[in-house]
Amino acid sequence: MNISESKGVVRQILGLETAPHLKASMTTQKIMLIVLLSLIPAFIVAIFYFGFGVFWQFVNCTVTALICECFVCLLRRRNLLHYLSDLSYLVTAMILALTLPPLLPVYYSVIATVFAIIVVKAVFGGLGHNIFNPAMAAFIFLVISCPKIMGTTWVVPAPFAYGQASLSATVDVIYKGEDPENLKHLVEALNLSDNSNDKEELQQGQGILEKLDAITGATFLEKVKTSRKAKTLNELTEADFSTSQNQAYIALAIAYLVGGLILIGCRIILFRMVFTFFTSFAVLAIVLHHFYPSVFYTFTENLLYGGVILCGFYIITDPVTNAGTAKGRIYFSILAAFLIVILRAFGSYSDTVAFAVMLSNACAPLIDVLTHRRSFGIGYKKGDL
Amino acid sequence: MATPLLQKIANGKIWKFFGGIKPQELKDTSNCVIETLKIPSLITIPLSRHLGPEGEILVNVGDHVKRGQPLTVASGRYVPVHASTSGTISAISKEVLPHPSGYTDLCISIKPDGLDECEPYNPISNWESVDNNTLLERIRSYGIEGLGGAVFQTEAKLRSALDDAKDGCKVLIINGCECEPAITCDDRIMQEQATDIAKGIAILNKILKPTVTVVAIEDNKHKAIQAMEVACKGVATVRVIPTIYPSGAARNLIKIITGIEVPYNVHTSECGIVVDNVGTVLAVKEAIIDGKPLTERVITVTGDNFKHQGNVRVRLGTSVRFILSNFGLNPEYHQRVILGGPMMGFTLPTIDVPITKAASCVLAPSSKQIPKLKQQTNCIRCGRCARVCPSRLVPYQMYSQSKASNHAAAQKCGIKDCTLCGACAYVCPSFIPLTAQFRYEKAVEKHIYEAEKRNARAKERIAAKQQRLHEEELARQKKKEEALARIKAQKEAEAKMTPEELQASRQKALEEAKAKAKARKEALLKGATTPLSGEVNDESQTVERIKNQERKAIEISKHEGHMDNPLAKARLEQEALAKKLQQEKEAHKNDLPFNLRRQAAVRTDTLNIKYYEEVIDNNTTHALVGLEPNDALQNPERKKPVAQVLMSAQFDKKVENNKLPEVLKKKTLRSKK
Repeated sequence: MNISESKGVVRQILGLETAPHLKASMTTQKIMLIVLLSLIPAFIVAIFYFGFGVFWQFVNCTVTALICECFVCLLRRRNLLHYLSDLSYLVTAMILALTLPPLLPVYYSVIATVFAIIVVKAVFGGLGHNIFNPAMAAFIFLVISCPKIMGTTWVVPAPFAYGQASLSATVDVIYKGEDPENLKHLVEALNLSDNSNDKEELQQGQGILEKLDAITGATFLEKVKTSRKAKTLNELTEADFSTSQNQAYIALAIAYLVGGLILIGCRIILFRMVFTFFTSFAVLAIVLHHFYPSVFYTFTENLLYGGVILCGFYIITDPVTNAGTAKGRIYFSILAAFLIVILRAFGSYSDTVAFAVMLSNACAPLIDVLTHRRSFGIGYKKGDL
Repeated sequence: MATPLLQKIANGKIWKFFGGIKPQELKDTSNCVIETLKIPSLITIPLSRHLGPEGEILVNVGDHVKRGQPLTVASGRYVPVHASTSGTISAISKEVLPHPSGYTDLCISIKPDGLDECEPYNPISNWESVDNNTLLERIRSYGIEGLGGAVFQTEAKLRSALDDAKDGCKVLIINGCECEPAITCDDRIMQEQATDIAKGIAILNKILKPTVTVVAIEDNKHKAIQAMEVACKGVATVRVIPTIYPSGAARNLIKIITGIEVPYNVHTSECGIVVDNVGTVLAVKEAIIDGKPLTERVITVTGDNFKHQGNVRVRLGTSVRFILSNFGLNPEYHQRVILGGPMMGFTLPTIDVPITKAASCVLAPSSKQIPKLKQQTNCIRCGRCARVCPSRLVPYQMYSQSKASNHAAAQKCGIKDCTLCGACAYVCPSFIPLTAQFRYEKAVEKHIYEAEKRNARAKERIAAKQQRLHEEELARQKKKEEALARIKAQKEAEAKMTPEELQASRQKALEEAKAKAKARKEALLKGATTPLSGEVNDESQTVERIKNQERKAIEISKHEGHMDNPLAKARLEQEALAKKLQQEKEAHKNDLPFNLRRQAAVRTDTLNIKYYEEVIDNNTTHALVGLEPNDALQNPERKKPVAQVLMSAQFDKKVENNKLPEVLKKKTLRSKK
């Protein structure tokens, strides 16, 4: 009896598969794992300069993301292990942990993660179908709905911050609802002590606050915003990158660069996309600063503050939310760079990178439609030899 | 050396084609000498590619055939097929084809007698002085098709290069790339029979007279390159090209060798470039110099689960089972038997299928050597597929359109340019069966295209019918109006008359009518002897013919088993007769004027009576002509197996019954009931 006569009675003994039978070794799981591992240097640097708050944020986000994914998976009746094996939620959690303020109370980060996984990702159809970058969307969700807590829980970086913002100290602030001001000042004081080498003065604590405010105050970008409104941006002193707090930004930038180079080496992100992003960003920032110094500030500060490097290596290269075609990806990165520079000058929020990414994400389908690849055989003429 | 481009090609410039992948090579068998397989116990030769619409089978069941004897006369773009060993034809029936879904089609089965007698070889020894037509006719009649896998008819390719190309063939490329992993049969042929291939190239050179002849070989076949370089001196230049899959596909190879991208809607031979596989060239040489028809080919048998691997020369029609048992397959659980290479080959649903000209490899890998495919995950639009596609497509866009059965959009994305090379599915990190979906999409689009063509034809027919009906309606209307006018006029005339006049006119009309009727009767009686006699003769012949046909029809239907019910038989007779008469009438419609047509219809009634008075001679048996016995009623057509490949993604089936849990289901009125 052969297979056509069997009418389904004979069981198929031979294995059946669709061609091709060979497979390359790269899988989605591996891609996500490599992205996650490449973020580890930045994570360590962040703990070094911002304290263990970052670590707890990562734990919060990861656990919440895992629970959300399980919930979605149960709703959609998928195989749990298979559904969770793509690890993309871990990357989302890691990027969220690196972008959220380190001393943010636990419920805020939980809400942000739930928003990222359920509303931004799962509602649109899960991995690969979301229009917006989940981490950036969740960050913006928090920035818009509770701007004050985002400002008050932000820590001014200092070397060896993990000494003050230790595991237990940050637990008190993040989970037990203690006022973050105290811890913030203690971390800031590390900068002071580093600069003045006056440990005893630090121990007194109380009289130091005035001194601290004079040095740091709000973040640099906030300061820029206020001075821009007063049209005094060109009078603002340039950030001194030799100070210890600004070293944190340089260290973070280097960590992201290392991670990005790992990704480029593993062919997970496109070099030309990263290259285009930074080139167009540099050109725009330098040219505009040159002509309008009262509105746009300098390229180095532009680059180092506010997570532009994270954006260039990790956010815009997210394959799901950027444009689909090869040409479209180039245009996408130029658009993102342009939006960052413009929004920094005219936007009312200082978290311009997230907004710029969201706007360019929204444009990505349009870019997809407008760019298409030339088909095979164009330029052929009959008898062309 | 006319153009600078040709100069560049001759100088050995190599271009790069877009995309491509570098899969693991698996070519362990490149050092295995070509063996020859014994004669199998049964040979099955599929006819689907060797018959064509008007083709004929030359042999019958029970005939004895010798090796090399043609079995079919092909029509159209098909070539005949030859018996691959001597023996008796045991059946001409539907057998399973080497197809991923296990379709059946007409095959000739030969029971070999073991003697392997050959038809006498008929070499063309003076091929250098023979004209092209003879050589091309020989190539066609000896059943030579492309042995690379696409099975394009070689003679048609050469002829179109000679006729359709603007100034003849410019570049002849001999394809020895063999980019597909695991296959080494072309490699071995080049190593062992380089001089024969060189002779074959010389024949093609003689036919095509190309400016440049290039033998393209990938740089992982060192021995083959050496052998070919020695053998092809003066005939062709050997060009070593980088090893990238799929460099062996015709258009990609043309891009590598000449830098020209030939669009997919143009035949490569039409732009003066001919690409032929080394195996085909060898077959051309054997057909012309040795006079042997194409009855065997070299295939690679490889895979971890074989006791020994190697290259083997098999007769066409040998079953895969025979090859597997000869090479000692030690199957694992759900052993995959892949016909063709690991990139473009397909898993066989059954191993009782014959080797055809298209088969180049039998691969039985262990799941360690080639892991089984995993369950697919969501596409993350990483764009790897677009980066490797040699046809410059964006596969994941095409996939999503096809998945949403948005066929027009899929067309626009360029599904027609897809060669199903499998590079996209190879690199996909989410294990999406892109190639399978595209194969499905292509099949669906072909189906839609054919349905559209049918619809257009039906529409045309309906429009014509409507037009005709409309015209008839108009004619009828006109006639009716005329008649009404006549009656009206008569009534008006009658109304004016006095009663006497009226009576007189009526009397007159009556007399006139009587006289007319009498005259007609006389004319009929008088004419019946002379003109009608001939007519009756004609018509009796017609009736005779109709009756004969009828008897035949009854005979046939009796044979087929329709005629058990006598009532049905009578009805069938009447219907058939009425139909025949109608047909006869239709046939004469054009030669009779309109007025006579009615009379002709009346006359058939009288003829009908004559027919029934005659005695039908049931004793004479009429030979069956035309229709052959059809056993479709007793044996209804076999249910076709579900096309496994056409199920675009086998894994998706699990996802489809994806329902909300009971708790979350909204309770409707119906569910309360």
